[in-house]
Amino acid sequence: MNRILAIFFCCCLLAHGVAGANETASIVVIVNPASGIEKLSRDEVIDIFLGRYRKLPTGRVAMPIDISNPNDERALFYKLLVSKSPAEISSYWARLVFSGKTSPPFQVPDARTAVELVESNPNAIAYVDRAALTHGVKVVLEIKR
Amino acid sequence: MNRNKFDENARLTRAMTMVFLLALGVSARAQTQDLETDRFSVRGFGTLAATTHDADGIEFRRSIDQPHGVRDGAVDLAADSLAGLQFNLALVTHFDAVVQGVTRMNSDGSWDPRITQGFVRYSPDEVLVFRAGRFGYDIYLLAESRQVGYSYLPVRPSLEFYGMVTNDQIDGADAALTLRAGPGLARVRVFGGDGVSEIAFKDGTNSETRGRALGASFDYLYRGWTARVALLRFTFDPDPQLAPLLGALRSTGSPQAAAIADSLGHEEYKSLGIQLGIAYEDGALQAQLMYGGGTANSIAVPEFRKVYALVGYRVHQWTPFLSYASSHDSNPIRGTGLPDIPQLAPLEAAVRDIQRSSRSTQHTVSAGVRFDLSEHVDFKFQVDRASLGDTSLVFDNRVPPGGPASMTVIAASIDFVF
Repeated sequence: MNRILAIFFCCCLLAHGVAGANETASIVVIVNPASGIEKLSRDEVIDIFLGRYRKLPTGRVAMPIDISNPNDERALFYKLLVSKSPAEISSYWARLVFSGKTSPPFQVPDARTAVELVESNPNAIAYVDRAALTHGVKVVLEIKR
Repeated sequence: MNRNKFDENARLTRAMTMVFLLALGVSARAQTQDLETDRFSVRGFGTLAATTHDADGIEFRRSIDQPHGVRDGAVDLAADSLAGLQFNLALVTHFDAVVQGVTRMNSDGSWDPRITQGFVRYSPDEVLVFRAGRFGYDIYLLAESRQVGYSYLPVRPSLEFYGMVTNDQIDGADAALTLRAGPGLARVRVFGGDGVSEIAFKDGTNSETRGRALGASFDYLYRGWTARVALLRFTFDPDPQLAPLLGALRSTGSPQAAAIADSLGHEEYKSLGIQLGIAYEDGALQAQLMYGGGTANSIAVPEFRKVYALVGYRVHQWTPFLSYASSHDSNPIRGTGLPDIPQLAPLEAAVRDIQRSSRSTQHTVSAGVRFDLSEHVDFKFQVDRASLGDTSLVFDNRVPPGGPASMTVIAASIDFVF
């Protein structure tokens, strides 16, 4: 039993080291300027997008938005945020969705639609490449490595 | 492989192929209909698995509710295969409903679909969640269902840890509260309701026992860590068919036989279980460590200690994994103490059979790999080396039955979700 515990925790420590691998890309998390949110921590964004806790610091309930194309922002966002591949994120949501616990983020086809939804909804929160920003949204976190 | 088994596998293969093709079609449609179908959604999952093993005279089962298992040397498509559909409907504000049906090998041998989840959910703010209806409770560390193979690494959940559990859904209500606590999140959940426990026996019979479950779980989540403490109290009525046996035991005048009768004759059987778990999931690594223990007020109900450990590490689309699981019965099998004479032998045999029907002393070391074919489909290959002690998780067809045995189980599966 002690040996199992030792192996378990060694693997966890090893993973932390590996998770720090280099990456120079970045992506920004955006909200509506009227949301009252100035910034969000990385942990808060993880909790919102992984369905753990969606209450915003303002008291509103966040409506996270996912971009359904796995080859673009979505893959990069989850890789930077939690070092997970699109298949792993899909596997993660399979646990929760088929437990009836919570719903995955609202799906939109592209970054432009995500920005438009955030511009028109004070509870919406999305991620996009910085190049897709408009004056109608506010950046609350930049994720980069 | 006999003819019936061959027909069953052929029917299953055709059914699973149709579900798989349907899944691909629905998945493609879903890509273009997300915005329109958000209020009502249909999702599904399934596993098509081929399983074999090498132990003479042993039938390998996934859980004790399976009426027949994998015979040595045969390739079986039934033991680890299943399919499910789930309907989600957003009702009025803050209310939604979920109905889930699953087809798999039932304890009566049929593959009739059953409702595994069907509840109304109310959540005013995602912090407080109430559910009423049929749902799973917190027996699995990261999910409430063991049926969705795509959601976990191994081909099947650990036999040692979960194989004895057949009442993992209840008809009742639960409430969950999630709050920020320090750097992480604390989640408390209480639940209660009725659940049916099913056991299939080697002689082709099966039993269904309805009981009452009451439990609570406390989770703490911090970044990649999830820690849990869970308690479950399960009570159920004894089988009324035991009455003649109890009368016979008491009529012998033996104090030891009378004590056995008292233990079997409780008005209500009570089982109390505790589960401790910790999981780490960050980046490419997945790891779980769990402990479970249970006590009971009757020798008819198992008392056990269980341990489960799993480590997996993703390399591109491949995730090799290793696991170890052990289950040990805490209480020895008790005899009647009656004289060894032919007239009393049936009493002794009946008492021992009751206790043996829920034994689970065995351990397994597993190695395998998961390959993610896409965001919705994976392929898995797994080898288990099981050391069997006094266990009813498998059917022992040896002559005479009993005694330790080792078994190598090999399985390959395709899981999908849509």
